[in-house]
Amino acid sequence: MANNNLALKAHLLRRAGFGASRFELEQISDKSYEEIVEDLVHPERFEEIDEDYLKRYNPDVSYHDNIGSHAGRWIWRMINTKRPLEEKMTLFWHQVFATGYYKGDHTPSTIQQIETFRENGLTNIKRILLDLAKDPSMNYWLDNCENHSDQPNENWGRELLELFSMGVGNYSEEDVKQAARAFTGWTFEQPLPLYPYGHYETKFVFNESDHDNSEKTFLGRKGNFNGEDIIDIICEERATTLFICRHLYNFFVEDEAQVPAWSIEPPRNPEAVDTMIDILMSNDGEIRPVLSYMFNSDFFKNSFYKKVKNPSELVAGTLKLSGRYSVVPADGENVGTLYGTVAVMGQALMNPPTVEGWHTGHEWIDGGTLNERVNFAVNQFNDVSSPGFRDILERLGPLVESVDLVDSCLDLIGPIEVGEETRIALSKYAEEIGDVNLGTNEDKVENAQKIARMIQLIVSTREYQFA
Amino acid sequence: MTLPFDLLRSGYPYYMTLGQRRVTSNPVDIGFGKEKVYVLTRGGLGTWVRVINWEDENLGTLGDASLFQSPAALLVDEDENLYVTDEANHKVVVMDKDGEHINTWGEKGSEPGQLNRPSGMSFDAEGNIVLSDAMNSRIQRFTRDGKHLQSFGGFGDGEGELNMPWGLTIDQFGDILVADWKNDRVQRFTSEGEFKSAIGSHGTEKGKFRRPSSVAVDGHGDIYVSDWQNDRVQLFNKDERYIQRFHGNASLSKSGKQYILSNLVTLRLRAEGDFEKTQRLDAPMTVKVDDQFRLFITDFGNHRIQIYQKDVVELSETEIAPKMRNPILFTT
Repeated sequence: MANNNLALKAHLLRRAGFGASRFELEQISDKSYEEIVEDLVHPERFEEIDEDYLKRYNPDVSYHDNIGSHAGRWIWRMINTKRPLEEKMTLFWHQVFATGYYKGDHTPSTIQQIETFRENGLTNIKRILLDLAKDPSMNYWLDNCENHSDQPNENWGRELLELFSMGVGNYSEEDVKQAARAFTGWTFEQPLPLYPYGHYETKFVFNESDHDNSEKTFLGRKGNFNGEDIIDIICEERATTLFICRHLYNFFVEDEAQVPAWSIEPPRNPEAVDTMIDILMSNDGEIRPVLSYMFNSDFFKNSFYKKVKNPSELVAGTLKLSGRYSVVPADGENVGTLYGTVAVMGQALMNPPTVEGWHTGHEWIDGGTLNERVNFAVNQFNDVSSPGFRDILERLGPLVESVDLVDSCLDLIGPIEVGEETRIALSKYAEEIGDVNLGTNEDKVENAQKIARMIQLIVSTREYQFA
Repeated sequence: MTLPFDLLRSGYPYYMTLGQRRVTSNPVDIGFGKEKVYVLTRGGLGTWVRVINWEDENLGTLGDASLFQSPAALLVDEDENLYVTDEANHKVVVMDKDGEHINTWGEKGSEPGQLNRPSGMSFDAEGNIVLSDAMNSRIQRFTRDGKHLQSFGGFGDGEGELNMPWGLTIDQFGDILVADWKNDRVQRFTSEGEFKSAIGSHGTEKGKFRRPSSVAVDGHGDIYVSDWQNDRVQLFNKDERYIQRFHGNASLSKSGKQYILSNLVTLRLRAEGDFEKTQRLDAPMTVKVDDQFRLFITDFGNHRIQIYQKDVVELSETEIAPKMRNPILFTT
């Protein structure tokens, strides 16, 4: 690779964020890789994104009725944020703690859950689980509002242990029952009806009179436990840290087996996960040190193209390259359409299909979704006036010799590497079109389509599907 | 034209609410005919002009995406022709009161007379249209059929400069008041476009703004500003001194009440919920006033129009003590 340092930074930003344009990579050119990691894990060093332009020109995001608009708003944030890891960790927790909008049909609660992940996603596992336990969207999704002292409902208690912390095989059926009892009375304020004036927010409520305060035995400990005690105990368990670290490895480093198989499939890199567990436990559950270690590790630096991009990564990353959906939306541009874009690729943001979340890795891709992914990426470069494409055109210089065209475009799109078969196909097209003159504005107008076609071929490749 | 010397401000009580979700969904502006109320709506629940009456009855819609894509403001003339700015297409669309297309004018650009995301509009005394040319950060005046007459402003944050202006209005004296959106202030210009004064700055305190979107002036010279991201409307007197805030005090509209009374579950949920928050404004986009001193607020996030009725006594100079140089504690 022509510039290993640049390629490594691009790799980091594809994984810890949603990719980077060449302009964005240039802006951090004077920072070392390690400094960039530190910036990523400390998003508070950078300004929050200004949403006022979006709210003015996409007013749907100013109110709480339309889930598609807010999912689109989230993708717009992924594209434009100066705090990429903040958004990436929001997506991470959304994937792990999958909560579907469709059950409650209550947009403000879904938005609130995502904002909570954004706010606490880089903090402490105990805080994250406690906020989750108090989240009205989750509470309704897993029926804890129906978990009464005289009639416990085990759904939340079961999934907390099975899918959100320890994993199957690390607790008993009796532990599920006891956990459920501890969360009785954890409910939410009745929100006002949608009609006649739209949705209103709700909030967590602890109904003491509906709480079972009697003694419980949970994971071998005895006490008059409430929900907070249960989370404290869970977070002391190595199984929980294994579960979280394996999720982090799967999401950021390398595609693992699907989560339901984790009780029978060992981690791909047990040493890496073990070290991450040690760091998480020795830092009392703080997430940042684990992420710092992971991004600076050799196993991360050597994990190029070991992950299939999830649809949000593919869409946000491609739009960063094309320069569409920038901070000030273009004329008539509607971010709400992006919800449909990721949904047809199998990732309806804010609306995962089940509490298990999405199946990831190679399961993102089937005949239908591959078609959608490729078509989407190609279509972004149909418009040769898009700011991202204009930038690529400028950077190619006045004359691109045929022999350099493939490498130059691969460099500006990533840099990314492609296999021999792909390179031969791309080179064949470069030979067909010959040297490309871009010296004058007239040249650019005349030859822009040739370059656009090369970019379209690159974003159609197998390699582009990987991060 | 003269304004009263001062006012005894008895109060500004809430008067009534018009509309509901799926009828006046996401209102961005409002205009008045002889018997009809025209509400411009924008968003996933309907982008068109909704027609209702003072009995809050739904009379249908005018216009659709074939005429305008991203409507920002509405004007209604004496014949009840409707003028709509379309930010996406950089045009002003004109239709009659039955929705028949009459005219479309405007082209994208930055030359005088060209537009880049036209937003707020107002008629001047001659019936010409003054509008905010948002992305060109300027104000332009046109005849009703689109002939360019005047341009002023320009990008910046100095006196007389603008940053993405949104709503505007023209007072009794021809002054043009502009919601200077990204500069978080309202600026007053003469009819020739000369800077006269500015109100407000960025903030959440009284008299400050977070992205003001609209301004109106009533027959007393009182100035109303929709303080969009602060979810409130603020009132300033003719001397531009802060008077009061409106956070919203709505009750149910007639149509809203009918809807709830016919839905038992909705009735129950409203009975169980925190009722107070239903009264508040959510991202109010536009303020308008009429000659009966009624204040109309398009309560965008709540799909309704909140209306307030001014209650004042007009005072001549001899009916109120002179202004005092110092504050006094002896107020009995």
